[in-house]
Amino acid sequence: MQVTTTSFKVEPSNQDTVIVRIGKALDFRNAAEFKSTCQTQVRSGARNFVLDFSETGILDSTGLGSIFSLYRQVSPLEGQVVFASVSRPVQVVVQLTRTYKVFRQFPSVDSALETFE
Amino acid sequence: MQSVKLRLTNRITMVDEVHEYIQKWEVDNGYSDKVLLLRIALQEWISNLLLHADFGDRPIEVILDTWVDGELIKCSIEDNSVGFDLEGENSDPTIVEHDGDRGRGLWMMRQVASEGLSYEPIGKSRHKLTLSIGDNPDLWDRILSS
Repeated sequence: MQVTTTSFKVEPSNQDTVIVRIGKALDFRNAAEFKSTCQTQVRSGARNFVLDFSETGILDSTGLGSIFSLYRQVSPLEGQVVFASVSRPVQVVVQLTRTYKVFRQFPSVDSALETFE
Repeated sequence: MQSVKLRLTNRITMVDEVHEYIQKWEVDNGYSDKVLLLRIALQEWISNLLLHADFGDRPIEVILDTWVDGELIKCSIEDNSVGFDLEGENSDPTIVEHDGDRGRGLWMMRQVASEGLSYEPIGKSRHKLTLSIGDNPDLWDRILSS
């Protein structure tokens, strides 16, 4: 079932994997909502998260922190968090913070999903 | 080139007003890659002020000023908080051993600021952050090759 929150759209891909369409911004204003949305998905059995940044113009350090929080949640469950369709503003933040060391990036959501099949 | 000032007093709309200001500044002046770095720095600083600054019982007031100086975009951000110690947060959030999420925003700001960050008192309960955004060719090379 697709879930749309104020800021995010969550689409299950399979039992373990969900796509989160980040939308225009993931920052200090909606990071808590991102955390709780993802926690709900983890409680429902999701382990792998594909974050779609195709429409994202703002990713700040608080937003990034909420992604690290998700990463810390799913890593012990052998889950993964990956980035897909990374927009230029998000790519700059990824490079500045060197988070490419932690989160794999894929050119599209479909190519990211292939790794979980 | 003339500076462009913006006075901000509303916590709810402050971030959106800043992004509208940057968008207008970019339309008027160009410099799109540098403006993207300016946008990142301002987002971090405004969120820092809104989340962590102590304004006492005063209504919040933040004044942005942006101008071009040669190859640099320069920016100052005045606020009426009691201020921060920028030097107190120097941990590197990009190392694997980094514990928690603290310091990442300031780290990002230091990465984009060509001549460092300066945050100084400019009067009673007023402080001013100044930063310059340059070409940062290393960063763009990394992005193009990623």
